[in-house]
This record gives sequence, structure tokens and C-alpha cells, in this order.
Amino acid sequence: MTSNLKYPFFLIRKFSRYLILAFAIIAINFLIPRLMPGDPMLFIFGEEVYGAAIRNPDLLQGLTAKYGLDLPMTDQFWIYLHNFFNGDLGYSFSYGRPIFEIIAERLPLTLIMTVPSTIFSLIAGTALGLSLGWESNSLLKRVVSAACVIIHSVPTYWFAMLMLLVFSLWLGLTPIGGAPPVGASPATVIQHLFLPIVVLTLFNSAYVAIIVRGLTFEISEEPFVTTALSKGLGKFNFSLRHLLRPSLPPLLSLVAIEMGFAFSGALLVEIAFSWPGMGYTMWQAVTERDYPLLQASFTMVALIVVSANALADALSYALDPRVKP
Amino acid sequence: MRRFRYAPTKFDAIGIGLILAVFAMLLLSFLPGEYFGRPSSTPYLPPSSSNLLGTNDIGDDVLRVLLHGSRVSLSIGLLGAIVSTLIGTVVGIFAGYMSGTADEVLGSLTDLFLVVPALPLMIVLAAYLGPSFLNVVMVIGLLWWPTTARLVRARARQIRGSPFIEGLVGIGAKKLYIMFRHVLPNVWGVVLARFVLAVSSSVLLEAGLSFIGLGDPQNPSWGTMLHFAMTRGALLHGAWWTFVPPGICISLASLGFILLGMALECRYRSSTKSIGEML
Repeated sequence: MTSNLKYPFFLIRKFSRYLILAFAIIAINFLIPRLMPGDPMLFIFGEEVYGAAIRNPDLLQGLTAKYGLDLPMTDQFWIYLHNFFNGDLGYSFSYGRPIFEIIAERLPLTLIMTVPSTIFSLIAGTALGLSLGWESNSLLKRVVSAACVIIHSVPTYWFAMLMLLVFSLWLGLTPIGGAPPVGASPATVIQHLFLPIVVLTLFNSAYVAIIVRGLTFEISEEPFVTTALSKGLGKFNFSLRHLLRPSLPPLLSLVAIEMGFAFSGALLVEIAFSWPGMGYTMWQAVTERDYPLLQASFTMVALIVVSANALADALSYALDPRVKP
Repeated sequence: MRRFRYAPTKFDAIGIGLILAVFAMLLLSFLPGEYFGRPSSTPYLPPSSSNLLGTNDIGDDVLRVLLHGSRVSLSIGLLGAIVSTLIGTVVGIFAGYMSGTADEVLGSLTDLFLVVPALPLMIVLAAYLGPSFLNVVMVIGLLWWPTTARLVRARARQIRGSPFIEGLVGIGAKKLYIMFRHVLPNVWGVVLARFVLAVSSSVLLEAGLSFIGLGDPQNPSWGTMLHFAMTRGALLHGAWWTFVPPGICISLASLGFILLGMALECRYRSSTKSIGEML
């Protein structure tokens, strides 16, 4: 009975970590503009609004009151939190719109690219890693392993540029970038999404494959592998139940950590493809010195990565029979 | 069970070869100007005998820009790695040797930085600090230490349990003395391997930051070349010679350090799992 009670507590303690992390990200977001050298108002309003506010005392007063900039830091933090949880992420001067609207429009565009490629690469990478890590040491396997390491050191966005050069510019098979127009047919949407998803899947699969390959090495030393083999289990059955199954929990927690990196790669790939998702938005915000937009985008991206981590962690616990009561 | 692992010697050789090749570029960049093609008045000239790699959007010789870019990319790669390895080693040794509160605090700090996506945070910080050589180094160094810290901590914990440390504690050696005179020399292998891998990562990170437009415009790096190719239309122009060479250079430099780092890591760790942790 007690053990049944312990389990939820264990989970709560485990996942409170992620809540603290999410809170830390929101707090960092509050602190960065206020701690940076220079006038914090420049960073909180963004360059253009700041310039206008300096010339116009009424506007300056209004903005100062809105963000509570004349109040002590703790009060400012409460105002900030209140605004944040009410969806008020500030105002982007470069778009002339509330930031919440921009992000609500662009976040789905990032997810439509990253979610499918993550799923594809988890499947492809795991299958590849299992076969690379197990037994034979053929030339093909060595070449593929080496290719995975090489892919690791190639900048994703540069590879995306190469793909655009070859498939869009030279062969004219895919559009040169950008999002499909609103209300475009599914075929056009797929045409636009095809290259980015291929590039991301390729890179993330190589990533996952290297991890799975390493885990397979470790597991192949376990005594139960020898037992399974001497029982004469079929290859497929053996790989699935005796290689893949025991490596799933550590695999998921490793993949979770790598996901942040993969997501960062996706942000840069968006820029290469002029795909108006979160990465492209961050890029534009950097170019326009639109600090509020840049920060809000970062916060969203970071919160997504943290939630993906929490999800992977939860799955890895659910799949690990040893931590169950 | 037979275990397949790359022969470290091959790794060493290819890795060192690639590293030497990129450093040769760095040396070549100090050749006087007359060895390179002249700047031309026409942008986007394709490769020819007078401009071996063609010209870029402002008519500069791409080969010259590429060689000069190697200085920025490689020095930021090395400096960023030095800063991050330094922080990671100190944090790791403290966390690993001092158990209890210090370990708990440093450990959760490490976890926090491991989960927060590093590149977006770097973009935000670099955007606030403004594009400059030192800022890019600091941003990479200050955010790329957690993996090093975690690995050094694990190794330091192992060493803390060994009899010679107990002996030192027994004769009344001070904690700091034990940590830096006796624990540090024993984690040196991990630190060195991590440093080499961190060079590879910071070359890639620098390229990413410059690609997004946060590099020092006065000292264009390989990443800056990719940035200009994107923003000034070389890609749409089909001027592949302006962005294919810098990408190859970034990849080769990063690959060289990864291979060497993996070879070093193989010597100190029995498992190949580490490859998954390298970036």
C-alpha cells in the first residue's frame, strides 16, 4: 500500500523540476533586459518605440506606468508575471502587432515542420542505430556510421541551402522557400514542406542513430542477450524485444536532451528556407532589433523544449519497469 | 560478445589531418594581398583563373574572404572552448568532490542549463550584447559548459572514493588542495577530450550565431559569409561559390575536432555511448 502511495510522490518530485525550470525561463526572460548594460527601456520597448518614447514624454510616462518601470523590481516582476499569464507578451513595433498574435500564427508553422520530422527520425534513427550497433562489422555499416558522424559536423542550415540550390534553383522541383499562401491546396503545402522535413529528418536520424548504436553496444554485453541468442530467437523478435525494449528508457532520456539541439537546428533551417516559423521570427527580430519579439520567441521555444523534455522523461519512466512500485 | 569500435589510430590520423588542414588555411590568410585575386567591380563573378573561387556580392575575392574568415572562426572556436571547458571543469570538480549542498546546487544548475536550448539563449544574449568578437566568445563559453561539468563530476565522484584520497584526507590535506592537485590530474583525460569536442561545437555555434547575423561585421567569419549569402541574395542568384566553400570549411573543421575528441574519449571511457553526448 505504501509503495503505491510513494510512486505519485516520486513523480511529483521528479516533475516539479520541470516546473521550476519553466519558471526559471520566465524569470530569466524578466531579468535579461533589466541586467544588460544600457537602458533597460530600450530592451523592453524595442528600438523604435524607445526612440519615439524619448521624444514624447506622454508616451514614455504611459509605457513606464504600463510596465511599472518606476516601481521596485519585485513589483515589476509581479506585473510582468500577470501580463505573461494573460497572454500579454508585449508589442512588436516591427510588425505593428501584439506579440502574442504573431507567435500564435507562427508557432504552428514551426511545429508542422518539427513534429513530423521528429517522429520520422525517431523511427528511422532507432532502426538504423539498432542495425548499426548489432553484430556484423561490414563495410556498409562502417560507411553508414561514418556518415552519421559526418552529418553531425555539417551545419544543418548550410545543407538546407545546398538542397535549395540543387532542387529548387537547378532542378526546379521544389519552391525556393517561404510558406504556401493561405488556403493553398494540400499538394502545394506538401511541396513547400518536403525539403525542410527531409533535411531535418536526415540530420535528426543521424543523431538518434548514433545514440541508439551506443546503447546497443552496451546492452549486447548483458547476459540476457546471450540467453536470448542461445534460445535461438529469430533476429527480428530478438532485436525488438531484447535490444530495443531494454534500451528504450535511457534512449528516451538521451533523446530528450538532444531534442533541444535538434530544435535549435530547425530554427536555423527555417531561415534558410524563409519558412516563417519561430526561427525566422527570431532572425527578423535580431535584424530589426525588436527585442521584445526576440525574447518572447525565445521564451516560447524554451518552454516547448522543456515540455518535450518532460514528456520524454515521463515516457521513459512509464517504460521502465524498475521504477514502478 | 564481440565489440565493434573504431580503431582510435585511424580517428586520430584523420582528425589531426583535418585540423592541420584548417590551420594551414589560417596561416595562408597571412599571405600579402597580391597572392589573392583582385577585387573586381562586378559582383558574383564565377570561379576563374584570376579569382579561384569567384567574387562575392561586393566583388571581393571569395578565396581571400574565406581564408580571412578562418582566423575568426577558428579563434572563436578555440577561445569559446577554453572558456567553457574551464567553467565546466571547475563546476564539475566542485560538484563531484564536495557532496551535499554544493553538489546539489551545482548539479541542478547544470541540469537547468542542459535542458534550456542553448542556441536560442545565445541568440538572445548576443543580440543584447551586440555583435563583437569577444561577446560571441563569452556567450558560447558561458553557456556551453554543462556537458563538461556533468562528465567531470561523474569522474571526480569516482576518484573521491579511491583510497589515496582517503589517505590525503587522513593526513589533513585541505579540500582545495586535494581537488586541484589530486583530483584534477586524474580527470585530465576527460577534460582534454571534452575540450577538443567543445572546439568542434563552438565552431558550429559561432557559425550559427553569425549566420543569424550576430557575428562581428568587421571580422567576417565563415558563418558571416553564409549570412551574407542568405541576406544579399547569393543563393537566389545561384552564386554557389560564395556559400559552398565556407560551409565545407565549417564542416571539416568541426569534423576534425569531433574525430580527435572521440579518439581521445575512447581512451578514457570504455563505452561508445559518449558519442551521443558529444554535442
